[in-house]
Amino acid sequence: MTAEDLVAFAESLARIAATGGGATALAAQLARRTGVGVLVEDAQWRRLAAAGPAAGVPGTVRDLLAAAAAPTPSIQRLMDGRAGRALSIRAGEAHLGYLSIFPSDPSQQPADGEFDTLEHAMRLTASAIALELARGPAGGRGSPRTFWEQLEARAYHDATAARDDAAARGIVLATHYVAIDIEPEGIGETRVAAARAEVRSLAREAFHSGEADLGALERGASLLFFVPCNREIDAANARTAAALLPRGLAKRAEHLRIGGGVGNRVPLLSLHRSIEQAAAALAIARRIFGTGRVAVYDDLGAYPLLLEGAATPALQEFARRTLAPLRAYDEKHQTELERTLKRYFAARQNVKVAAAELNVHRHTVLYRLRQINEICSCTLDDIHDQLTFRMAVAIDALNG
Amino acid sequence: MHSTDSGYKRPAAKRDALKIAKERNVRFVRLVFADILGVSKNVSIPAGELDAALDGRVTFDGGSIDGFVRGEELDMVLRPDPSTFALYPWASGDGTEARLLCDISMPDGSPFEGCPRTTLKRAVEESRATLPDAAAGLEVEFYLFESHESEYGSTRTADVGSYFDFSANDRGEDARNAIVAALQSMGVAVASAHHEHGPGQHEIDFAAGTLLEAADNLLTLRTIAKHVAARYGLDATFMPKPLEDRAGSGLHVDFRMEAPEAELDDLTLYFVGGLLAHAPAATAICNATVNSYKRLVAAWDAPIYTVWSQRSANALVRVPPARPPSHVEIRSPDPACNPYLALAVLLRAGIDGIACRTLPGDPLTGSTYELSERDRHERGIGTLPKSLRQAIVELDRDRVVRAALGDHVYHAFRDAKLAEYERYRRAVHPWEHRAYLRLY
Repeated sequence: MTAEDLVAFAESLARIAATGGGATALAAQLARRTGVGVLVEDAQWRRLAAAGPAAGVPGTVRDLLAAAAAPTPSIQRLMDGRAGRALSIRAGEAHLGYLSIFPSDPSQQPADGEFDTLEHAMRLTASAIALELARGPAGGRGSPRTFWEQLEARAYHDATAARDDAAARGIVLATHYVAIDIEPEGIGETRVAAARAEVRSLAREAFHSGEADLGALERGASLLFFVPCNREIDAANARTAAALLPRGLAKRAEHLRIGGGVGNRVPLLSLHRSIEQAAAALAIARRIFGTGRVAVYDDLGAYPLLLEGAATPALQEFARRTLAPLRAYDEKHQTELERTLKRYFAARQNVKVAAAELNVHRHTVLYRLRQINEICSCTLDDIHDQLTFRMAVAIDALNG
Repeated sequence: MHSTDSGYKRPAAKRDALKIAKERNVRFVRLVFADILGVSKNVSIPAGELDAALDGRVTFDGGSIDGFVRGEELDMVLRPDPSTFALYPWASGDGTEARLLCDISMPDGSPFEGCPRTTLKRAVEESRATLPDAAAGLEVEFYLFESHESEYGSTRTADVGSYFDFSANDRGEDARNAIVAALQSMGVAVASAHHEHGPGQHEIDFAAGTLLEAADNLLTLRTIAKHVAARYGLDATFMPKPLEDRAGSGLHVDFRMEAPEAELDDLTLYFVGGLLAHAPAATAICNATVNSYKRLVAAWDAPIYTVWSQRSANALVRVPPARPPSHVEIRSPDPACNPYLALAVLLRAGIDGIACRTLPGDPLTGSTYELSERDRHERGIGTLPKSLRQAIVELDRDRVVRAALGDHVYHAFRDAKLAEYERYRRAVHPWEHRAYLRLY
């Protein structure tokens, strides 16, 4: 792109933003002017927009980034020989998501440096999307929703500014908050809105506080609640109320299932930390414990650490290498050793429970465990071997 | 009729009571009821009047009973509960004596608002929609002291035993066993009995039953223990804190809740939340003497904070770790309380917790005595009242506990207790003589 092209492109982005075009329209403009595939994701890896040739655009770039846990302001190359670039969408210090571009034809490897010429266009688009994300869909200042989004985006530099802004909007703030991320599960597209309304209504009752306003945001399929917790007991009660939510909801609407995560109690300006923890707890709960459960970040022990590192090649390789003998044996002999091992761990090493879940006799489970010991040259009763296998199973699950 | 563990068959109907009275040659029947302070009162009738009594045709002068005064409505009617008919395990001079526990009604047959037993029945009835089968077991602690002719008795103990001790030459143990045997002969289901912390201190645990049975059992125990202990040259006392440097006597209430397993977790949590939220006001009823507050100090595992735990021995509410939770134990009441009123307010407090979905915070681990003020603030932990006066102030503020009592009981109880506190406040105590008489 020449300098003139860039100026024209910047003006077109400004026009789109001024007329209310959101991330989707901005991404489409980038795709139109450059001919590449474009993907926009938020900070929780939820797809906000996709544009241009769809063939080369993956579901997410989460697993294709070398340092997914620590977004940088510079443009990143993708891993695994994948053609494409990703750029953190930022508002000040806050990381709001990723803008990624991909070649129009995934079978053709683009010439080296081709993407680099698009760097300025990417940066301009990311800035425009950042403004849109920070401002929020309600548009402009004045709505309570915008306040919570700004807080999430770390737009306030000190608590006084946040409090003044909240007061101007009629929001009563607490000193501390707990973020709770709730997501309806197993719901068809057509019923998502109704499910969300039901969840919102129940959650508002469950997390109601007489001392300060409850914050709420929608993020893709998720509902984020910011529960005021001036004291530790308020946080404890918020955690308990969140854990009881799936059952309470099932009583109201039998078909409705939810999963969720609960972050730690944090000071107002650190709300983003609690939000990240809630999202991590939700991801862990779903991948490790299955659906229909609200997990508390602090109760997840080592899992958050594993989740942070689960995408790193060393850990992935460790999990693959550890489970490889079982997978090879299962494939060759049509057995279920890997599934048996996972059920056995999930059942807290209770052979009877594992057998019931696998629909086999407990002697079969014992036989399979002996087979696992032989094939992997390990002793599952040994705590060191157990640690190795438990970690491998956990990393494997966390990688989805 | 229904039976208890001892094989005793409780009469379920008037016909059964009359039959037993005839078969066992009963000469006198005591119609027993509790006044508003929980003290047993009785009207004794010849066995020939039992039929009339069971029909509710025995009246008494309510004006002479604490808390029953109500202007011109002085003739109260005793309404015996036939299922409580039991023979006393001792023979009076003229033959066998029996008792019947009674509700009190107005001359027109309507329930008397000031009757503690009726108050508990009402609380149970109002809670039935939420907890249809609420039950409770009681753990009752008491002291056995050497009998003494003095006006107030003595505090000299007959043994030096301690918690769960087994002593072959202990009159206290013999007396306690005799008390248990007497209770069983009257159809009271005793789960266990053992020596407690203090020398001369014992505990008798009742098996879980309906809340009304639990309260009836405590009323029965207080009467039986005094009679039986006297035969061993001992005085039984349910005074909450008879000795300054020994453990006080508590009354632990184990609530058992029947509910589908999936709901029990939530129900238990909310019930605990309600108990903790209303504990300061309920203290006025559960710890109803000025002496009660000398037990509620940071020693001998007495609860002092509104906190729950799974293992801590000195938390106010304990929910032993089990899935689903098996019972909720509240540890602050003492055995000098009016058990009908205490169970009524505790039940309604728990039910209010369920209705309002009151969460109790996280369970505490460790000793509550080590909590700093900052810790308590952060965890939302309150303090139980430190005096009867303070407890009455809390009672005045709590609409749920007051509603559980009803207006009549609330006002009568409050007036009686304020008067008691005032008498105590004006009295000059021996400690003051020791501390000040020579000093100033």
